[in-house]
Amino acid sequence: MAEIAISIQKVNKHFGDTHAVCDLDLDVPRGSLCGFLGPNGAGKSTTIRMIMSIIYPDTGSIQVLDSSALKNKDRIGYLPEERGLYRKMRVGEFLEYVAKLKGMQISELPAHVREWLNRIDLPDVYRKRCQELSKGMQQKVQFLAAVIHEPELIILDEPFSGLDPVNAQLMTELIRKMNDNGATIIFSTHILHQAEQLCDRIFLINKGIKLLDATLEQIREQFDPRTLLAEPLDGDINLHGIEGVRDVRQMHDSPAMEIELSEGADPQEVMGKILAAGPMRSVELRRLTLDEVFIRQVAAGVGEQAAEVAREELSHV
Amino acid sequence: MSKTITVAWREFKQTVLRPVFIIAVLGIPLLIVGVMIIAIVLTVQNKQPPLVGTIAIVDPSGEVSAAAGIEFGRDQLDRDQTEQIEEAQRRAQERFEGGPEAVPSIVDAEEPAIRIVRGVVRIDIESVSEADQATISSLTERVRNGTLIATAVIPPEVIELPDPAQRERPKFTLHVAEGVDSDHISLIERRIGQAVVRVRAARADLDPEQAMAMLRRPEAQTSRALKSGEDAREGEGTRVIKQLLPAVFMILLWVSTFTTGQHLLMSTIEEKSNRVMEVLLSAVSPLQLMAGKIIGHCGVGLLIALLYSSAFVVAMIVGASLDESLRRVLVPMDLVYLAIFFFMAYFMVASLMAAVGSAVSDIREANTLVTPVMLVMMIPWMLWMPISQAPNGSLATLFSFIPPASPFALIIRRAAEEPIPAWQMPLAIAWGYLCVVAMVWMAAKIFRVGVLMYGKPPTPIELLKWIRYS
Repeated sequence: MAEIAISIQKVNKHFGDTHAVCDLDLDVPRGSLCGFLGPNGAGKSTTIRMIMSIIYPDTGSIQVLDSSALKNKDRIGYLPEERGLYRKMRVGEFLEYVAKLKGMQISELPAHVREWLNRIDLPDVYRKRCQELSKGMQQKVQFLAAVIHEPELIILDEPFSGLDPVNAQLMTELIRKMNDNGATIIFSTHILHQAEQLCDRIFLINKGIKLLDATLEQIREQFDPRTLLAEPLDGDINLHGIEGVRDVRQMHDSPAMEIELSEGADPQEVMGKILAAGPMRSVELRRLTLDEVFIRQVAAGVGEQAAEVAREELSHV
Repeated sequence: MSKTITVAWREFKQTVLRPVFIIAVLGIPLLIVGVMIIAIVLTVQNKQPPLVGTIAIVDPSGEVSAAAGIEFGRDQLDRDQTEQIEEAQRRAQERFEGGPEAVPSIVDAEEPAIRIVRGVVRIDIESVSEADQATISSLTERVRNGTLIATAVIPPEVIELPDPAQRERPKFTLHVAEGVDSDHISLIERRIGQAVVRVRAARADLDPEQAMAMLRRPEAQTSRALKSGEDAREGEGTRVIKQLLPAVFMILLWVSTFTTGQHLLMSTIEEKSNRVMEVLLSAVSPLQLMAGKIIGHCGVGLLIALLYSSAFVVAMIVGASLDESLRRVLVPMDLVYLAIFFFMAYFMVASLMAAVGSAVSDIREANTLVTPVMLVMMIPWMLWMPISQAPNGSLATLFSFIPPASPFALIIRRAAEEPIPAWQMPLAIAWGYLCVVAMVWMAAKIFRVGVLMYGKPPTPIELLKWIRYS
């Protein structure tokens, strides 16, 4: 069994009448890169703040690196959702200050900070004041403040929000690299397809309730859509009569058709039959997106109405 | 502990190295001293416009006019340097062939008799013997149109020898032109009054000079009989400094604690409004953060107190080299008490400011909570006079035990001349530091909850609830 970096057991948190987190159980294996997903207001930031011991659960227990975040602050890097900088402080001075608070030795700091600034493509900002930086640059400096001490556990709350695609890509690569070097990384996002590209493990949460906790492989197995996508060259082709096909739907935004397979039908066999039925531009096995998994889980757990709300929320992302 | 020190050092450095701080702490006192020096220089140079003109004295006897000439002349002779005296004599000689000795006797309405030349006053005296209403009205009219600067009407009974049983003083009237300033009016009143006394002395067959000399009060040379067996002389200047000392200490304490309390408040609000608070809390606990901030700003306050008190001590040492009695005004123990009360006052103010700063999201919201704190901070200013006057009165004793006014009340009492009852000082200090512990504890409770709270600022009742949170 893999070592556990974070263990959350039966955690509940209320804010007034709002039940922000309900009976949450969660284990984050060491060395994993986990996405903590859910729409806005799902309870992600509250859970992360409890993990960081910034706020405390009403009931339940949280173990971080075999103890608590309070005792392991120097081993944890944290990028909060609400983050800022000292506007008048110089970038180098700010990063050195944060690194010192994280227990780094003073002698090695300036060189270390300059090296990291180079890594995030900000080699010339060491002596600039934080208020002189663009918003994107400030976000990169904030990210750097979370990881400057190269911790073994990194918790990033919405790390990509507000970043342009180039900087988001740079950040993604840095996260991957730190994970490759052995760091356990959790990041929260409400943009599910981002997590799909980066994570090896997913936690889905909605209205404080855990909907899913699995690796991407497990999710793909669990949520086999049993659906094919076929785009015929001739639009008049009829696929309804093919054995193993339960239903055929024309997609709204493309000339492709969505073909739902019958119970027990072999996708490979059905694909062969479709190709034999007429000229095709493409036939592929469809994969369910995390958005769809999320909506299905909401529907299964809370009901269709809630799923419709979740669909609406995701469409606004 | 090292994290607390790291926070403290940043707070200290970021405050002390800011141009605003340097200007405020060093610039403003320098500015005040500069303005005082300029004011003194201007006063010494006597830039006040001179009083030049003629005063008519309605005096049928003519004696007061003559004596007034001497009085205005004596004013000149008493106060001026030898060179100026010689100048006055030379001018008098030029004008009167009889020489300076003849000056008092030559007073004539036809020929304005006495011309006194000096920086402030140059007066011609016109003696008027007719005291009828028409003459007085005409003279008043001349004052109104500016040809006279004043008219004094001296009734005959004023120069008569006074009855010792008569308590009410006889009066003369003085009409003064519109543009004459109050200092000059006082001078004219004083000199004419003295002229009347001079005439009375002459009428009583006394030598006027001797009579005037007799009226001069002797100067007391006071000294304190110390328990050590010595006698220490105490001049008027020393006494004034002793009276001002409680205010000096109170202001020093107030400025150093209040200024730093303000900085602490602003820095906490800045961290909340810039959303840097949560970044910090991922590295340090709220208690470490608050402790670091309080210690850092305590350093700032100490720096201010050291700068100002050093300047004060240097001034006192220089003063003591000129006047030995000043050596006893400031004793080393005063500085020890200043340190004791500084820490007491600072931690009280700092805990209030840290609590308020953590509870609000930006400076606009802070106003509602800061206003009561500001009012509390004004209490020492209201206490200064009553406590200085009655350092062992019930008001002084009461406020010595009410935080955060207690350290200010105690330092005023300590610096006052009347000794505090022996039991009160240690008890008040012990109680004050107990209150410090309680206030810091409550501030820590509020700080821990407040730093993560955004939105509507809390009401005082909500703040009390925060204190009760575990």
